[in-house]
Amino acid sequence: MPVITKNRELRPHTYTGGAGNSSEMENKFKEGCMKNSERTFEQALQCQQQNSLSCLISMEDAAFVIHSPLGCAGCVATVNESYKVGQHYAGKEVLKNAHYVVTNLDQKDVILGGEKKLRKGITDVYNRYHPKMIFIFTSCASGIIGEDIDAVAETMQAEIDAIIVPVHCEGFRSRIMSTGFDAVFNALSEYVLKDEHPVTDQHLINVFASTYIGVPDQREIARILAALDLVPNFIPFYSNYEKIKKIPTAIASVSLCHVFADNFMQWLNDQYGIPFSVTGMPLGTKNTDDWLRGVALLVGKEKEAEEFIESEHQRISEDLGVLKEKLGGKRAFICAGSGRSMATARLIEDFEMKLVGIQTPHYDEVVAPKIGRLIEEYGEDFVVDIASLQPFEQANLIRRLKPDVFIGLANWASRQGVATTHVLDSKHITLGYTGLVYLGNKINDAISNNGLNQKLAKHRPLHYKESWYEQNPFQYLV
Amino acid sequence: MRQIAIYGKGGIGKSTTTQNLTAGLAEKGKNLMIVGCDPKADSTRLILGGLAQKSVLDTLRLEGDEIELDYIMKTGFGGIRCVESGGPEPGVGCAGRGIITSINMLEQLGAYTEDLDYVFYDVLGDVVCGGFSMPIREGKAKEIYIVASGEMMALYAANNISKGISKYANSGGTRLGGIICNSRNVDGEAELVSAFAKELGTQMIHFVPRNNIVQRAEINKKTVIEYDASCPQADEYRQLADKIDGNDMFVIPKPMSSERLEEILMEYGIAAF
Repeated sequence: MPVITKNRELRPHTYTGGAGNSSEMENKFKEGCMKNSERTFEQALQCQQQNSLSCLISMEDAAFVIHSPLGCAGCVATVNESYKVGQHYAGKEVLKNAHYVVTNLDQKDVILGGEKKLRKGITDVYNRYHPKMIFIFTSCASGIIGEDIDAVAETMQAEIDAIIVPVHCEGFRSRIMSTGFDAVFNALSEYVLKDEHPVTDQHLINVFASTYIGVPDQREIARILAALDLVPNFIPFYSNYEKIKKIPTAIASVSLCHVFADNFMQWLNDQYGIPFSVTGMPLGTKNTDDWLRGVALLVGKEKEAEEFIESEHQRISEDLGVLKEKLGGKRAFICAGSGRSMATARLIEDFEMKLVGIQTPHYDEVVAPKIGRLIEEYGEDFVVDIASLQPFEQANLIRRLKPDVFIGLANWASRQGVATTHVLDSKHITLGYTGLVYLGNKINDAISNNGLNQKLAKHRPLHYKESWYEQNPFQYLV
Repeated sequence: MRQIAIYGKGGIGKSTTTQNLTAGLAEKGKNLMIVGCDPKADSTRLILGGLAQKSVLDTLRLEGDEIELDYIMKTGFGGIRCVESGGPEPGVGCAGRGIITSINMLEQLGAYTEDLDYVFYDVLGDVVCGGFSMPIREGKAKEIYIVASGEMMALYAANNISKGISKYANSGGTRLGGIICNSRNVDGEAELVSAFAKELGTQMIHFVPRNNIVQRAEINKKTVIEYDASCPQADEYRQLADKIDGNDMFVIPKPMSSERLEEILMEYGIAAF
């Protein structure tokens, strides 16, 4: 794999803008004619550096050098918090912070080069924490001045016995923040896993997911995989050097999200002959069934998988019946990352809810068939908005579609009075068969107890003028 | 105060022309400052009699920004004040950002005094990024002269620089004052450069003939006027200084297409054979 990751938008038929009725979108995509897919006005775009950081920050024996101005490291506070939540749920009594420093590139460093600071950063984290791996994260500033991070890593490697791994994740490089994940896996393959000579462990399976998927979910996944006599090697969340080195010894690979580690699993297949399955996030029965069947096929345990699926369906059928009664027919709007949004849209099918709209950051050859399948399964159309958040479009859509519940990042929708909740929860089990019941109850709680959002809408409504709500929400797509 | 930026292809003789020209203006009793905007920091060598100067960025690196103006500004021939922006080591950092920082620092330190008649910016060969266009942004240099010769690549670069100028001319007050032909003794040079200048909508303000005395003066770390005030080449620079001092033709250049540029070259290049 090249050190510098290929941007996701360079993959064929990938769009970061576009909107419309789901069938129209599907047809336009099939015809290779996605018109109106450029936004002339955008409120927000996410930064891929944050994804690279969140991906690795829970690596327990690693330290991190963020080669950037101080502000870029601000997002570490959020990912560090979810790392600590993970430690708590893993039963750790003393919670630790991630071991990171930021080089604080200032104007002088931008002009004269920041190599000296970077070297000091590496030496400092090494002396302070004695990590086994030191990850260097690049930034827009270091990228613009063309700082040669790889050369610094190479020369410092001679002096330090921790593996130094540069991650090329300049925020501005890609419009699709999942490129930040790819940057991490490219770095791991280039600096940590090249030229291994593994002996295969027949029971070990690589399970890829970011820190945002919590420890309770790890447990549910481990329980499910145990039915196939498999033990998960979770990478890179709450992982360590030893687990990374074990990656090439696994018998198979699977991801907990369709945008996560897809290229890396392909690389593992090419390099070490490890087969892999890409289905999607195991949220809800349909996704979990597909996910498990995908894994079973890799290891020849289809029979065991079917038996397990049947017993799990039976186990939750009573709870699911109650949830269907409560939630059946409720109309949902979903806004999440590409993997989670597609999976959530299928999760709510379990409760016989209706999908009225979905916001997803990009649309490509993987997402398109998922949309097609949703149309088929729901038997009717819904609105698709290819948008990295874009709150102005969302607010307009929420006003028009009037969903009973908004599932996703609720900052704005809550102020429109609609019931809101999310399925990203690192404190509880959300994945698999057990998670389904929890999420159903969570959605039901949000709908039944919507007093707060109603008050917010009354006293702190969104700032858009009434005239915006009367206009076409997609008028800035050309 | 007239602020003037000198641009042109790398190696065309911008620094040499700027220093000889400013020596001519100094001789006329003008107060001048030269701001070298090239990371090589060699724009004031002839005025100062050697590379004796600490560049702004070297100083920033070694001493920080708590410094006095005298530390980075030296006075040379004819009372010309000299400042070198300098830059990072080759291959590291961002020289363009360095120029932005240097010019801001000069402003903060009060280098632009009321008594100055002229400030000259001697800028790196091509306007490769925003930093190198700093002298013509934010109402600084309002006049630009491009040094060129009759060689194709020099004219090609001059046309390209004109594109940058027209961009800033439309948003600010920057204008092109003319093309200074620093002769390389190529066929039909004066006619070609004149025709080129006319096509751009400007003038060839002066034809500086090639003369080896320039080289001899440079070896001696002097401008021609200081080295041999009575030689004909010194008069050429005096004439250039007079023409610039009295110039009233300032235009927004009309850069031409590559095809048109090639046509002009064919027309005058072939005619000379």
